[in-house]
Amino acid sequence: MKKNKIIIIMLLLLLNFGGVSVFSQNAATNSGGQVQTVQPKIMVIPYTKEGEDIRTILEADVNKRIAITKIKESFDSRGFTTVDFVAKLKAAKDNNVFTSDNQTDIKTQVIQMSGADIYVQAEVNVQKGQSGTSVTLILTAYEASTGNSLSNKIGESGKFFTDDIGKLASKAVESVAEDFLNVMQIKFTEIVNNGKSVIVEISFDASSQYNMSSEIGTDGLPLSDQLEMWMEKNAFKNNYHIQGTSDLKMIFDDVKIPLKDQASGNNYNPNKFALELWKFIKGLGLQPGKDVKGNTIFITIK
Amino acid sequence: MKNKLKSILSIIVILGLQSCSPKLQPYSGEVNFLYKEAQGTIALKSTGYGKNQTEAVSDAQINAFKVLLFKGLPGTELNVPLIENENDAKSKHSDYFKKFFEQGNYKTFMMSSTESSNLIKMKGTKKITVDVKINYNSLRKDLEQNQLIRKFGY
Repeated sequence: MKKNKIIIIMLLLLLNFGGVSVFSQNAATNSGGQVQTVQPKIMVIPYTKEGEDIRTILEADVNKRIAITKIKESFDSRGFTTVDFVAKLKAAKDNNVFTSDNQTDIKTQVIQMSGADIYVQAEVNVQKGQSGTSVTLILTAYEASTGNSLSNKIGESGKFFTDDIGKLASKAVESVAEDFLNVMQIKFTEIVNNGKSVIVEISFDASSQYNMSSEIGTDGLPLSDQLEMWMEKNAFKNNYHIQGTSDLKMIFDDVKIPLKDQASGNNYNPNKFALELWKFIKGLGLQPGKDVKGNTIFITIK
Repeated sequence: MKNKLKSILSIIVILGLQSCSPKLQPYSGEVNFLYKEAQGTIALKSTGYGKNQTEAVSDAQINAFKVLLFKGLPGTELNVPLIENENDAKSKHSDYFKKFFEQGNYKTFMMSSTESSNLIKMKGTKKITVDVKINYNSLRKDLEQNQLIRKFGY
C-alpha cells in the first residue's frame, strides 16, 4: 500500500517536472540570460518599371548587379548582413513560388517570401552625352509592412569619358552610401526608443454573429471601443493610429510595439503582441483566430 | 572705511566663486571639408589656438575630431555627428574621452596632420591651420566597441 503511494507521488512529481520542462531552457542553448537584439532583415532589390521582368533585368544588366553588390558591401562594412535578393529569387524559382504572370507581383512575392523587414530599392540611370557619361543612382529604403520611408538619397558619379558604366555605378553608390546608412541608423534609433510599427487588422468570420457595434464585456461597450481602449493601454508609449473602423473591420495601420519586453528584457515581436490581443478578445467571451505575417497581425472573430 | 573694505572683499569673494563654477569648454567650429580620398577616410582643414605651436596644432587636431564626433560636417557624408548626444556621452563615458583627448588616443585615428599656415600671433594667443586626415571607419568601430554608439541596426 505504502509502496503504491510512493510510486504515485513519484509519478506525479515526474509529471509535474515534465510540465515545467516544456518551457525550461535546453542546456545546449542556454546563454546564461544573455539577450541579443533581433536585427531587422534588409534586402537590396533593383528598381523595375511596371511590366518589367525583374529576373531578366538583373540577369541581363551587369551594371545593376554591380550597384546592388556595392550597396550590400556598404552594409557589410558596417557589420550588417543583408538578405541576398538573387539567392532568394533562385530559391523562389526552385520552389515554384511564382504563380502569376504579373512581373510586379514577382517582386512583391520575393519580398514577402524573404521575410525582409526592410527593403532598399536601387534605381540606376545612365546618361550619355557629348560632355561624358554619368550614372545617377536613386536609393530608397522602406519598411516592408508599413511602407514607412527610412532613407532616401540620390547619388551621382560625375561625368567621365568612359564606357565603364559599372565603375560609374560604383562611384555613384560610394557618393551616398555612408550618408544613406547614417540616415537609416537615425531611424533605427527612433525605433529603438519609440518602438517598431505593426499593422493590426481585426475582422469577422463570415458566419460570425458579432460586429464592431456589438455590445461586449461586463461594461457593455461597443467592441470597437473595447479594442481601442485596449490598444490605448498596450501600444508602446501609447502610440497607435487607427486607419478606419467599419461595422465589419477595424484597422490600426500603425501600432508601436517595443523591441524588448519591458518586464523581462527579452526580445519582443508582433507574435507576442498578437497573443496579448488574442487573450483580451478571448476574455471578452469571443472566439478569435490570429494570423501573423511579418509585421501585420490579422485577428478574425468567429 | 570698514564698510568699503567689506564690500570690496565680498565682490572679490563673489567673483572668485563665479570662476570656480563648472563651465562647458567651447571648441572652435573652424573645421572645413578638404577632400575624400578613400572610403572611410576624410581630410579636414582645422584651426587651432594655443600659447605656442605645439599647443595650437594639437588644439586644431582635437577640434577636427570634436566636430566629427559631436557636430557633423554639412555637405559631406558625415553631415550627421558620429555621437548623437554629446552631453549624455560625455557624462556616461568620461573615461573614454579622457583617454581620447587628454592622453592623445585620438592620434591613433589620424592618418596625417600637416600645418597649412604659419603660426599667427593674435591678441593673447596664437593661431594655426592644420590639414588633418582621419580614418573615421576605424573611429566608428572603436566607438561601437566601447559602446558609445550602437552598431548599425537596432
